[in-house]
Formats: sequence, C-alpha cells, structure tokens
Amino acid sequence: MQRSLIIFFFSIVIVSCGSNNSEEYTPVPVNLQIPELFQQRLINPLIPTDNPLTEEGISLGKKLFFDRRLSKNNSKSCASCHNPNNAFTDVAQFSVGVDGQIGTRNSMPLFNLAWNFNERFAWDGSELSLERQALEPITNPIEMDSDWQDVLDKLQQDSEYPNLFFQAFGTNIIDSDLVVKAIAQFERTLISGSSKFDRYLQGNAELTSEELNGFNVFMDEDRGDCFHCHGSDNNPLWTDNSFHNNGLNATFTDLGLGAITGDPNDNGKFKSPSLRNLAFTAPYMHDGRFATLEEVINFYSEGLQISSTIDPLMKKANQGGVQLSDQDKADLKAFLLTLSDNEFINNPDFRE
Amino acid sequence: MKILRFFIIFLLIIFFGCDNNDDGINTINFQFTHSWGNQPISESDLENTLYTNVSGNELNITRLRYLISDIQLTNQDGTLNLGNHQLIDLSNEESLRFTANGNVLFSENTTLSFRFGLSNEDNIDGIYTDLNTANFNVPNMLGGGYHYMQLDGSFTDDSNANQPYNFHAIRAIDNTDSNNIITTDTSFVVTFSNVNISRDNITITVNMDISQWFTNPNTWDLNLASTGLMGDYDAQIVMSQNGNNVFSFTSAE
Ligand code: HEC
Ligand code: HEC
Repeated sequence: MQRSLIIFFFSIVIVSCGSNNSEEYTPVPVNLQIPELFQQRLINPLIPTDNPLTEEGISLGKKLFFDRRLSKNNSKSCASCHNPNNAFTDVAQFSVGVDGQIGTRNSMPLFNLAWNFNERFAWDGSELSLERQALEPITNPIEMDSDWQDVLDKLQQDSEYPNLFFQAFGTNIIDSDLVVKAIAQFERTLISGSSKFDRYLQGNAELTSEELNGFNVFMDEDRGDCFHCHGSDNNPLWTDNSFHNNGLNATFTDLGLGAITGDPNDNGKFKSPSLRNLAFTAPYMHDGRFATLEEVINFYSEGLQISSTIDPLMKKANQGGVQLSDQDKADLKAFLLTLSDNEFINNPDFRE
Repeated sequence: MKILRFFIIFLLIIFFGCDNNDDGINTINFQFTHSWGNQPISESDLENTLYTNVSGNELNITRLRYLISDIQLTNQDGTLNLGNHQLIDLSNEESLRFTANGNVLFSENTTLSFRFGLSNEDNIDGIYTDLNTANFNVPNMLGGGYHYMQLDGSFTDDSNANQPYNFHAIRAIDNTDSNNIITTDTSFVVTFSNVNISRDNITITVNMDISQWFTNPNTWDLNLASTGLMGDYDAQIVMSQNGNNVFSFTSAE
C-alpha cells in the first residue's frame, strides 16, 4: 500500500516534470516580409513595441483566427466573415452573426493593416488598434455573441492552447489580452503586394492598352481623379486610410465617423477602402450597396448625392459625377482589376 | 617650468573647448499657426467657419495640407540647414510643431528661410516615403513629384449654389502640346531677417494667412477658377505669386 503510494507520487513528479521540460519559452522573432515595392515607396509598417511579431505568436494567432470556439455556439470564427478566398472579407452585403442576426455594415477585407498609421480601424474608425479591434467581435451580439470568460475557459481546457500560449507569451494562463495580441500578430502578416499592377511597376508585367488607359483615367484630374483618396503608383496601399464622404447619400442613416467623434461635420464619412483585391471583395461600400464594379463606376460617374459633408474632392457632384465615357468606364474597371492579387488569396500561410 | 606651461595650455584648451560646446547641438522648435487676416484658424474651424475673400466669395475650409522644405538659419557665421521637408496638416496638431537640431550659433541677426513646396531639384517623383504614405503625390501626367499644397473646401457661387474648390498648388505644367511640355518651378523661398535666436530650445512661430492666397498681387475669384487647377499652368503661376505674402514671422521666444 505504502509502496504503491510512493510509486504514484513519483510517477506524478515524473509526468509533471516531463511535461514541463517539453515547454520552453523561446519565441522566434519574425521580421515582416515587406514587398520590395513597399520598401521603396512606403514608410515601415507599424509594429507595436509591446507586441513584437514571433513565429509562435503568429501561428497561435492564425489558429485562433480560424477557431469557431471563439463564438458563443462554436459556429463562427473570424474567418467566417473574413475568408481568405475573398481577401479576408465575405460575399454577403451584411455579414450574418452567430444567431443569424444581420448587421448594417459590409465586412472589410484584411490586408496591409500594419500600414494604417493612424490606427483607426473599421468603416467608421471606431477601433483604435488591431489589438483593441480584436476584442470587439467576440462579444458583439451581431458577430460572435460570446462572453470572454466563456471563450477563455474553452481555450484553457483545450489540450493544445495552454502550451501554445506558453510558447508564444511565456505563460499558459490564457487571458483576453494575449488572445488579441496573437490575433493581431497574424493579421499584421497579411500582406498583399503582388498584383499584376505591382509586377508592372517593377517591370515584370505588361498592361494592355485598356488597362493603361484605365490607370490614366484614375490619375487624371479631368477624368476619374481617384488618386487624391485612393493612392497611386507611388502609394501602393491604394488608400489614404482616411475618412471622407464620397457622396453616397443625401441624408444619413449611418453617421459613420460622426457617430464616433460626435462632430456633425464627420457625419457620413467612412474610411477610404483599399482598391486592392476588388475582384474578390464584392459587394462594395460600407453598406455593401453595389454588387459590381460597374455600379461603383457608374456611381462616381453620374450617381453622386449632395450632402452637407460631401468631400470637396468630389468636385463634379453638382453635375452628378465625373461623367466618364463608356470606354473610360470599361478601361477604369480593367485597371482596377489589375490591383487584385491572386498570390495573396492563395498563400498557404494564410489558410487554415 | 615647461610642465607648468603645458599645464596652462592644457587648461586654456579645456576652457575654450567648453566655451565652444555652448554652441554645440541645440534644439529649435517651429510652430506653424494659421489665420484668416487677424482671425486665428485652428482645426475646429475646419468645415465650420465661413470666411470671405477679396472677391467676396464666401467659403469654408475642409482641408489644408502643405509642404515646406529647406529650412535654414543664416547669420554672420554661416548657414545652418535644418532638415529636409515637413508636411503640415491643419487637422493634425502634431504636424504643426516640429523640432530641428543643429549646431546653432546664437545671434540677434539671424535670417530664417524656408521654401514653400519643393524645389525642382528636390521634387523628384516617388522618392519620399513619408509623402507617398501621406498620399501627397502628383500624377506623372502632370509632371510627377509632390503637391506643394492642398487647400480644399466649398464656397457659394454667383448663383448662390454651393460649389467645391480644390486649391492645389504644384509645379506649374503646361502639357497641352505633348511634344513641348513646359514646366516652371513655382515653389518659393520665404525669408525673415533680424530674427533673434537668443537661446537653446527657442520656439519660432510662423503664421500662414490663408486669405492672402486669394489676393496680392492677383485677385482670385473662385467663380472663375475653383477646381481642376493642377493642370492649369497660369493658375499655378498666379498661386505662386500670391503665396509670396501668405507667411509672416510671429515670434522667436
Ligand atoms: C459576423 C461577421 C464578423 C465576424 C465573425 C468578425 N468580423 Fe471583423 N468585421 C466584420 C464587419 C462587418 C466589419 C466592419 C465593421 C464596421 O465597420 O462596423 C469588420 C471589421 C474588421 C476589422 C477592421 C478592418 C479595417 O481595415 O479597418 C478587423 C481588423 C476585423 N474585422 C477583424 C476581425 C477579427 C480578428 C475577428 C475575430 C475575432 C472578426 N473580425 C470577426 C465582420 C465580422
Ligand atoms: C474624396 C475621396 C474619394 C475619391 C476622390 C474617390 N473615392 Fe472611392 N471611396 C472613398 C470612400 C470614403 C469610400 C468608402 C465609402 C463608403 O463605403 O461609405 C470609397 C469606396 C470606393 C470603392 C469601394 C471599395 C470597397 O471595397 O467597398 C471603390 C471601388 C472606389 N471607391 C473606387 C473609386 C474610383 C474608381 C474613384 C475615381 C473615379 C474614386 N473611388 C474616387 C473615397 C473616395
């Protein structure tokens, strides 16, 4: 009897020692793979000092991003609304939450987020960093409708997670701060920089004459004049990451930035989305109102609505828009599609 | 005896060496303020406050971003270059203040100069990563390089309609004849003399009177020209001329 107790005691020691020895906290630092074009044209991406990238952190973040247990009834992961096939957005006008509830905003694609230097995320700029953003969907009733304690319990009881958190952060006590840090690390690795137009800029691809004319429409102050808000050959983010009212509505049901700042002058302003990967990200605009790029282009050409906060850069609003010819419209569309990046959506590092 | 002489020389060296250190690396702060005439303009005026220019156009301001470069301090002892360029954005408090460091020689008779925009030599397409990231580029079809200024807003036109204006200053370009493209460097140098740089960590305040963009020497009527100005060679020349008296020196203290 005594002997078996002693053996039992020893085996506990051995087993626990064994599992302790297999865990070592030596996370491997990672430098983002910044595309050459971005290195040449843009300032370095923003990595917060309190959340440096590591191999272990990124791979943990990826696992969490695809894990449905982050939602109330284990039915939705981040990837349900941010699908790699769609440049990390979804195809619905309004994403559907765990209980079938529908929101009022179109999901947003996720890429090149570390270059959003003012760190205002979401259509209305309500989320002030990637880490803080990731806190929100888990408890949002129209998204994952869960409860942090619930999620943490599930993760803590899992056979793998405690060890993975130890490897990434040096503790196997899981808390929400570490969950969002890991997710944000993964999100920062989502870099899209190898579209046909990127290759063209580096001399590795040719554009058709239609695509080239479309680019000129985009850059021409007298035709599209899109570059003032949406980047250019010198700003390969294809967004200014800033907030404008581009003339979608005469009156506002969704106040956008105005609801966040409380300033009526911000009513109807939303973040300029990047024009990369439009081939995969329909429908378009914060409310997903346009199903096709033709509709978007027709809107800018003749469908603008005047309102008090419309951006002065929508300079032809009184005439309905920039009044493009049919040829220029078709070419503009062809150009916009050269900004789509198949390598990005097929990158195995970004898939489950 | 010899040792004593060495010792004195040694002390003298230390003494003068220390004295020289007083003129070592110092900090100069710059503060850019904005006004309409004597009426100060800050971020909270954007889209809110109405102004009237010399042509009687009633206007508001949505956005003001501009570039200054080649900041220099010159006195009897030489010229000190203080950094390359600074993008000033009225909606971003942080951009209105910046700091330069250099081996400043204190003098009551310092000349402060800076350039509005970028000189042709510096206005090279795509080379400034900070300005690319800020989306301040000029399309290649308009000569490339960078905007000098984006002043946007709306005004009430002669038929009482609300109209946008995009008062964008760039290097003037006339590309009507693609075989004979004419460009003119419309950036300009602003100079203030007799600035008293009396101490380390001094703050130099410079004001831009936005109303002056529309007058002196040329009267600007937004009814006649308000958008599509980047590709308008003559408009750029007029803007550049009017720009020569938009800046004034406020203080160094
Ligand atoms: C039910 C669908 C849904 C789920 C699940 C979801 N999101 Fe989102 N996400 C959205 C929508 C819709 C927006 C736009 C929100 C807005 O502007 O109000 C958004 C916006 C974002 C943004 C802002 C992107 C930008 O460029 O500003 C990030 C980042 C993001 N989500 C990450 C996540 C992460 C991480 C998770 C999992 C923890 C997640 N999302 C779960 C629908 C979803
Ligand atoms: C004044 C700044 C501005 C200008 C100029 C501008 N846009 Fe936009 N664009 C925006 C904003 C802001 C949005 C998002 C609006 C919203 O959803 O409320 C947007 C949305 C879009 C979208 C939808 C993308 C998505 O993922 O939903 C496309 C496509 C687009 N713009 C293309 C263009 C084209 C082409 C031009 C030139 C003809 C242009 N834009 C000019 C600011 C601008």
